[in-house]
Amino acid sequence: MKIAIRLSLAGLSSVGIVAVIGTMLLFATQQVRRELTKNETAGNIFHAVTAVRYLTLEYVLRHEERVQTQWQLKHESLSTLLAGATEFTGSQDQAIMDKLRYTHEKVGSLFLRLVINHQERQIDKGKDAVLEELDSRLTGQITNKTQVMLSDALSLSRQSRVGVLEAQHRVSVAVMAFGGIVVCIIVSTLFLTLRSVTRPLAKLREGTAVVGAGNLGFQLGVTTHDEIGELARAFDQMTEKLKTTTVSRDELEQRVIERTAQLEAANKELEAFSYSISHDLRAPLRAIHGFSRIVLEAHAPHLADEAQRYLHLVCANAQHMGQLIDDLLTFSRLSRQPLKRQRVVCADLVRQVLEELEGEHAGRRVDIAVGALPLCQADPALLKQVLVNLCANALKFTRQREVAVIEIGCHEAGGESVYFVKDNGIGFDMQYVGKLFGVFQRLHRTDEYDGTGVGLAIVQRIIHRHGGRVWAEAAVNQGATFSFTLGGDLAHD
Amino acid sequence: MTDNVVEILLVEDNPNDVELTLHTLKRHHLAKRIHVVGDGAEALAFLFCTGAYAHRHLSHGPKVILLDLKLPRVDGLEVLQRLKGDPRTRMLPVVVLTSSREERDVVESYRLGVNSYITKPVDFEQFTEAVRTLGLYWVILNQPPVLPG
Repeated sequence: MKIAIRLSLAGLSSVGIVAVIGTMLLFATQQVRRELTKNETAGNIFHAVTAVRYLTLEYVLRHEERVQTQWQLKHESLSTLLAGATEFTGSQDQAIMDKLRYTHEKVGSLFLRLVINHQERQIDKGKDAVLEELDSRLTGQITNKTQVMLSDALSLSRQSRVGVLEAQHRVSVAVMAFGGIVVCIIVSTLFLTLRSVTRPLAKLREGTAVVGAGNLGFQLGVTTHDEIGELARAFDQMTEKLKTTTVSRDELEQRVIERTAQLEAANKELEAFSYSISHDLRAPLRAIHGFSRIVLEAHAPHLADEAQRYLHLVCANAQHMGQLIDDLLTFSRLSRQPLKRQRVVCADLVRQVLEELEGEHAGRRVDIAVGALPLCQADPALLKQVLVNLCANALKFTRQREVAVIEIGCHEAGGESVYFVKDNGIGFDMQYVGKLFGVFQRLHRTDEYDGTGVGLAIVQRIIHRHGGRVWAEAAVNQGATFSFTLGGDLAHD
Repeated sequence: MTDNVVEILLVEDNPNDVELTLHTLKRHHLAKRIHVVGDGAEALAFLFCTGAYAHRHLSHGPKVILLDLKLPRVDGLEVLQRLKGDPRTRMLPVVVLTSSREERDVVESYRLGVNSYITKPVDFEQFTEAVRTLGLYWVILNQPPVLPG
């Protein structure tokens, strides 16, 4: 049975019993009231009989008309009292009442004879001795009868007192009995409920600790059908669900481990691949370049000019391919290298880069302006690579200008710092801007501007690894501006 | 070329690289006593005077070992490890001369105690300059240790 039902049943039965007790108390009160009325009537009868007795004696002593009238009035009022006393319903009480009424009638007729006797004594003085004898006998009889009546009235009064006591006793016994039952019901309900709550609760607490410690196979197994039982079953279901989800999480983790292993294997293969390129592809190139140079150096006099020119071309191409391989390796290494983000003083970095590139524009008129550059969070080596590539491009594509003007700076846009490298070089057609950052994509002919077409791809990869953006704006023969942001601290690595 | 007293041991499997290296060393008169082996196992036999080199004496060790990393049979890093792990050969100067520019090869070589790490450039002029410089330094300028033995 549910705890709530059990408690409400106990409450209802207690209320019922209390109502019964109340009803009994009501009845008892009414009974006591009835007995008290009887007692009062008995008292009135007693007093009236006493009065009649005294008036009889007074009449016998004085024989006055007034006393006779008083006696008769008293007698009549006692008659009314006895006739109206209907509250005595018990058989014993009724018997006494009948006896009282009968004796009362007798007393009335005896007094009448006493009055007649007195009148006869007045008329016939000769019979005075006989009549006096009769007078005293009648008086004696009246005294006896009223004495009996008095004792009857007293016994009525006693009876009513006994009735009161009985009613009180009955009520107190009933109150004690039913009160005891109520207390028993409440106590036993509380005890049973507490027992059915505390034990499973202790088990539940223990279970929570066990499951909390990671043992998901634990089940409470509480079988009761009350609220605690429901709670325990819900707990078991929760543990069961937790177990299935945990198992699937373990499976997921296993899958992640497997995928990671596969990725690591693929990465290792890639590394081995680039290692082979680095080592095996460069060796034959070195041989091509080396032996061509040796031929040119040692056997030039025996070679026609055309042959020498071709050999120079062989050397130049070998060099170019060596550069391509180096750039590609740098590009592929960018993905594997971890990003080491730290505080970078951009202005210092730009100064270093410009110093390193000084050799590239020796003998040219180059006007380089460096604006205010804020501190930033970036991988210094990689950011330097970006600046080197962008500045080298700016220098390269302003080669035909009489005065090359290059501006490096930074401005705020949309809450982030936008760094830029601007030049007055040959620029490019914006319709090809989509190709600009692709690997091996070139917008200018190789015989005009050297390069492998990897530089801007490297720039883009570095900026993307920082979580930033890079873009270019240009027009043919009107210079180009390359801008980039470095993303926040939460940039993907 | 005698293998008894050798100034340079060149460990290189690529005959082109061997020829280019020798060409450079000859041109700068640094290749008087140079011995070439084509793999790591032969390099170890030469240096520890075993097998075909049993007649050699350990104390006639070369002034410098030019070691390629990618070698048949026993690779360069293992040769380096064996040399630097043995008290008899630990003091021999070893210069790694390789095509590899991989960071892990550089780090691992230095960890094993290499004396120098040179990447072979594709450009022949740069290559010549590198070989000439290291030959000059290790054979002429550097004072080698007296080997036990």
